Amino acid sequence: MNTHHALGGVPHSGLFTPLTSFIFFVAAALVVCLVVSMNNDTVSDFYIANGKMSPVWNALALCGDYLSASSLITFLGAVALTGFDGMAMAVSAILGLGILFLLAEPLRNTGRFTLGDVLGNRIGGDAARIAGAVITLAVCLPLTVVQLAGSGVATAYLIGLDSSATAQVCTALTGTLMIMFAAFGGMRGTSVIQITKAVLVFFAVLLVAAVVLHRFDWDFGAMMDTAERNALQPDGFYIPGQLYGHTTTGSFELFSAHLTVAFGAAVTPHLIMRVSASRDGRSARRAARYAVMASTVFFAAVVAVGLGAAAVVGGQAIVGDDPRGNTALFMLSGSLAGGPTTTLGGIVFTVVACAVFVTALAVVAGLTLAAAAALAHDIYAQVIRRGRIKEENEVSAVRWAVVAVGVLSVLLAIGLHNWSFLFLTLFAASLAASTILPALVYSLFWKGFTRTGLLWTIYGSLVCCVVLQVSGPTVSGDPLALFPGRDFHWFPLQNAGLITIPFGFVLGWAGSRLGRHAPVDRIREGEAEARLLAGVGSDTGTR
Amino acid sequence: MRIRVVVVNAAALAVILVLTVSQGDSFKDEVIGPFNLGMLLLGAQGLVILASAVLYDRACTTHCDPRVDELHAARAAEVGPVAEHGWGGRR
Repeated sequence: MNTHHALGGVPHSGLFTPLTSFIFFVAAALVVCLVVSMNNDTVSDFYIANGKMSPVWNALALCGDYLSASSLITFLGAVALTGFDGMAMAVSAILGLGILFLLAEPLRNTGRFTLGDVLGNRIGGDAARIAGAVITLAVCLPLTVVQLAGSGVATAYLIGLDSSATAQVCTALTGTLMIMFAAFGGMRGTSVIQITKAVLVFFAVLLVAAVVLHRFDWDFGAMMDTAERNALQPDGFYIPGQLYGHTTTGSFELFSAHLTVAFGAAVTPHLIMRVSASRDGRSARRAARYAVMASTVFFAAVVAVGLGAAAVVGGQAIVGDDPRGNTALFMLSGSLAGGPTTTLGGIVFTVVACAVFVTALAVVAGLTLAAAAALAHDIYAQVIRRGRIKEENEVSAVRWAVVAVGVLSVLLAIGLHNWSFLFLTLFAASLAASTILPALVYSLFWKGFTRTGLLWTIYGSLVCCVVLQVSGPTVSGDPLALFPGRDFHWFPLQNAGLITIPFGFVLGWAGSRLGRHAPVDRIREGEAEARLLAGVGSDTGTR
Repeated sequence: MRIRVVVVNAAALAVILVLTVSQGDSFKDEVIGPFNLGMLLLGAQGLVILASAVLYDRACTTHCDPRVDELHAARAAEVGPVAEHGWGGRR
């Protein structure tokens, strides 16, 4: 049991202890989710909240989808432990949302619900739709498993029983909640959760930043100096190289990590569905712009809190609790305002605990919904049933798909609980950056893109990502690898994006130039242009 | 317009990465108040992303949206007006 600051271990009297507040918050979120999603009668209702979300609401929901638990915990820990490198990663995450901003309007105009719709509308035929579904599952499933396992560990840590068995039970409970949110709530329900989460997370981070700055009498310079003195490596805290070292390989690794974070986070399938929930192209663009603005403020606050963690808690103490610094936020919030035993300290810690839990819950619900939509809409309704399916049957199918994907994810998260998840995280990020981004950029903006180019990009990059990730230090040859006792790695980088992202673009170009240019591609060019500009015809879908 | 945004942001990223590799040791030098060179460079990159998003959206509102409205008007004249009902917005 961690003795720092567990929700259950806080000696508050009365009904509203931090632990009961935490449980009350989760229950209230579930009730609200169920109430707002009572009218999920049509597929459009279920997948994209009928495509009528206003820019402000969708911007908040987009922030909720984009800011995963890793954005909050991992980046904050990276800032606390590595200083400049962590701050640079946070800026790359903002850049990722900037990339989504550029794609949002054409994505909303071209697509209907899923990634398979976007690719199918542009290229046509079952192959494009299946490719979209395959890559959606290949990206969403690992991310869901990682987030579920992480949320189980974080919840167990927060209630003060951070044993392996408790974490697995918490994972199962979180997974059950996730399935209920996604299966009953659909896009409306998950939107409410995302909006609630975004507001809560923003409030939590800004609250902690304010409290920690108040501790230094609002003197940011004093906090920076203290952070440098108490850092793990004081001499190099504000210079690059703390994350991956000062070697040539370290420089390439840093470059590759920035590319993977910026390009991978921007185009995950649940974000594509989120963009489709906007009223029209300009609403999607406006929502993405607001999201860029909000996330810039958020990551600035994350940097301030990360520096505060280094200053108040200290690098050695953070590493002693977790080698990757993932508990830095909890340690900091538990030591502010007199600790959780005081009223203000209890409030700070409870708000942070609720924010972290709902962050993980909301993201896995969005990912599960995207994966289930790929199965039910792209594969079952459009490929197997050839689009001849009643709306209520498709809604029923997607609910069952949510249950199937959710149960599989929970079982994998519990079964792989003691394994290193770094491999899965980096694999999913580099896969999204190397397959979805080239496919979308070419589909939306290059008239010469063909079905061959699409299939080369999707499946070629998928193979490349698998080979390089398996051959890298995240699987073997490193103490934190998937198989720490074995060493068969020959690829030196943890982040394969430096190779796989350009490879994905080259494959798309080469496939379109060298492969068979199917007549259907040329016929659809004019239609695709009308959809790109004004969304004309996108609501009808095309098989 | 979109290409200009990409070029500006790619250039900002490239400058930061090149400086990170070549001049990394000078990043801890304080430049303005407590803020060192590294933080100012990252802050500048964040501002570039933010400014390009705002300016791009404004330019689209001025130049692209009227054309989209024309297309929608033409479409509505062909098939009839589409009912507008929103979630959290105009109804």
